Amino acid sequence: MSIHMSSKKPLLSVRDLVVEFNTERGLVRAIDGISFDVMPGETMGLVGESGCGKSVTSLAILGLIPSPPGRITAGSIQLNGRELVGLPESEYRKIRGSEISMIFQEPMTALNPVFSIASQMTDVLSRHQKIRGKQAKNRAIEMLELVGIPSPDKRINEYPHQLSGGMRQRVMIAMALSCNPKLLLADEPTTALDVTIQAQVMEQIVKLQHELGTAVVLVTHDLGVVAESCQRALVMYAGRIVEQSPIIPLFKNPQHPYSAGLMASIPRIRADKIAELPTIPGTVPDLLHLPKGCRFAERCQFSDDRCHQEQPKNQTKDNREVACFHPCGEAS
Amino acid sequence: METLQYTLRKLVTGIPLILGVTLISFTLMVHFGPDKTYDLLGKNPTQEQITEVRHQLGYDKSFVVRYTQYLKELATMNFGYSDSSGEKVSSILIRTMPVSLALILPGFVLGNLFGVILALIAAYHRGHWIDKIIMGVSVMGMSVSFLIVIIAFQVIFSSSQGLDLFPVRGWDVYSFTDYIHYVTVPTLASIFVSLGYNTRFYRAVIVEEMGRDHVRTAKAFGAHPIELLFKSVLKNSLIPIITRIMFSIPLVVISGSLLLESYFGIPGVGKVTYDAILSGDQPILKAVVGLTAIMFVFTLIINDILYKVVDPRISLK
Ligand SMILES: Nc1ncnc2c1ncn2[C@@H]1O[C@H](COP(=O)(O)OP(=O)(O)O)[C@@H](O)[C@H]1O
Ligand SMILES: [Mg+2]
Repeated sequence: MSIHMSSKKPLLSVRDLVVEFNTERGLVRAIDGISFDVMPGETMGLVGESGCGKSVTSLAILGLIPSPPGRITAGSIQLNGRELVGLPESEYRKIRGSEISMIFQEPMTALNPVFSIASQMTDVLSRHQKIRGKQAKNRAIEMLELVGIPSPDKRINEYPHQLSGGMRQRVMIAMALSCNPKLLLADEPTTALDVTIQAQVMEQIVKLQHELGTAVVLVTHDLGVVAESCQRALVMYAGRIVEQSPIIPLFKNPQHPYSAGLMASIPRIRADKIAELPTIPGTVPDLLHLPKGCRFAERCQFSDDRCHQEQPKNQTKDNREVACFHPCGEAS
Repeated sequence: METLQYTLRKLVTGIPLILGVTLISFTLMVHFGPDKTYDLLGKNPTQEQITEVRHQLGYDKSFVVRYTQYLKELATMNFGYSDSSGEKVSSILIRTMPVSLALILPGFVLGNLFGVILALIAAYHRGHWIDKIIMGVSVMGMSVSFLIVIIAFQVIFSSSQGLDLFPVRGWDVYSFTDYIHYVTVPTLASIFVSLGYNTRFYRAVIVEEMGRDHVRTAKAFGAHPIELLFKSVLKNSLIPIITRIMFSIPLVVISGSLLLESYFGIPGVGKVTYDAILSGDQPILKAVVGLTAIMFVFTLIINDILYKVVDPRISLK
């Protein structure tokens, strides 16, 4: 169970979620029993190396795991107490884009190249808000203005290829927020953009999140972004959550050796010069051949026999959860 | 307005293309083609007679002069008179071309239309038994040769052993009812033959498009699968679909009408061409080959214009 500062009810509540993919090489368990909550209006980071299951987690929440080959095989996802796993498609469609929205990583390909921005945005509005024609277009222009697109009344008639990557991602954000969702899933929203644009787009997301009170799950492998914009973060490793914690203690005092490794590898201004940025030795285990014990044990400097034999359970302490036998390297 | 400009520019760039294509076909057909000199002469001709006839036929002129002459014929649509019937080539074409068009068009349009529809159905039910049945039948349809289909359909629809509903051969068309009467069996045959290929191709195109990121985006924004198919996917798939349709036109017109017209005894361009090849009727061949080249270039141009209409990314430059 997750722990929260307040007694407010969570907006999204994920419990023991398991997602499996049927691949040619065998059954891959991409998500292995993760649990977390997202509170209304909060920004939660979801970090971890590529392939650890961040995108699969966000797709699972939207009910968009490509099937076949994928499937949610266990667990529950509740939005405001309503179970989403097993929800009929027709019901799920009403939620997608209206209660939960998603922004994708690749603004180049995520928009339809042969329809104008106006057409794509008004489609969403007429689908969920039942507004059409001029009214829908005006609302779309308003949204574009809100995300900082200059002369939105002209840009709205353009096609995606006429916009820069940053502008396209702004369009995605505008589209995602146009129906006032309660939850925004942002899957590496700035990874594909130029560094200078990244900051602007992130700023925009944070600003709107404050203004509109939308809860955001920010998927990223950029810990700098998490530090700046999130109140809380989950650290994922090989399909599991290894640590979840409020942001300040996570950065100051990471509990899981993997989190500690991630923190150490952030480039920053240091008092003493170091020759090379520390990296975590080794590679992520193959999901088809997972170790018996802790999945990080292979790469962990603190691991002992027990770590290799037994899977660590979540331990809760001071609003933080960590799945490790030796949190912060302490001997058990 | 922009599209009009684009069209004009495409037409201008089409001119060198027409020159190139006609040059190649002229070289192959007229320059290396049959020499009619001895057909027109009696036995043991004298050298003067030979020179005389070669002069009449224009064989003594230089290649450039003869090619220019050919271009002039093409531009004015004046190809002289048929060697075998003596009828004016242009009036033969005016008489037979509408027949060929009327014969081929329904099968061509329906074959592609049904292909796209079946492909959409198969793609929508991808992996499902509906998809498997459609694709299985398509493969079966693909593996039967056109000739066998024609003969089988004639037996089934037009013979006394079969349904005996339509005429086996001929083209006695004076009314719409006549037209339906004569066009049905050839149309069914060409649909049958093209449908398998079309369906397979279009399904592959549509399935590929369904895997694109923007389709996932539309899904994530609550689009219904039908809307995904008809809005997100179909317009994006149109480029390869148009390309296939346009590029198959020359082939369908030539081979399709040749086979259909000879097996159904229909007096179209295909039949005329076939007879002209057998008798070495050069004026007709020159006209048909030249017009085919022009048709090919025009299809390319129309193809480019349609791209522009469908895809905003294709620039005006
Ligand atoms: N469509 C798929 N088919 C098979 N396996 C998949 C598919 N999508 C994801 N996976 C598996 O899930 C794992 C996690 O993927 P993903 O969530 O995309 O990682 P990331 O954390 O980089 O977003 C991958 O390593 C892969 O094994
Ligand atoms: Mg990802």
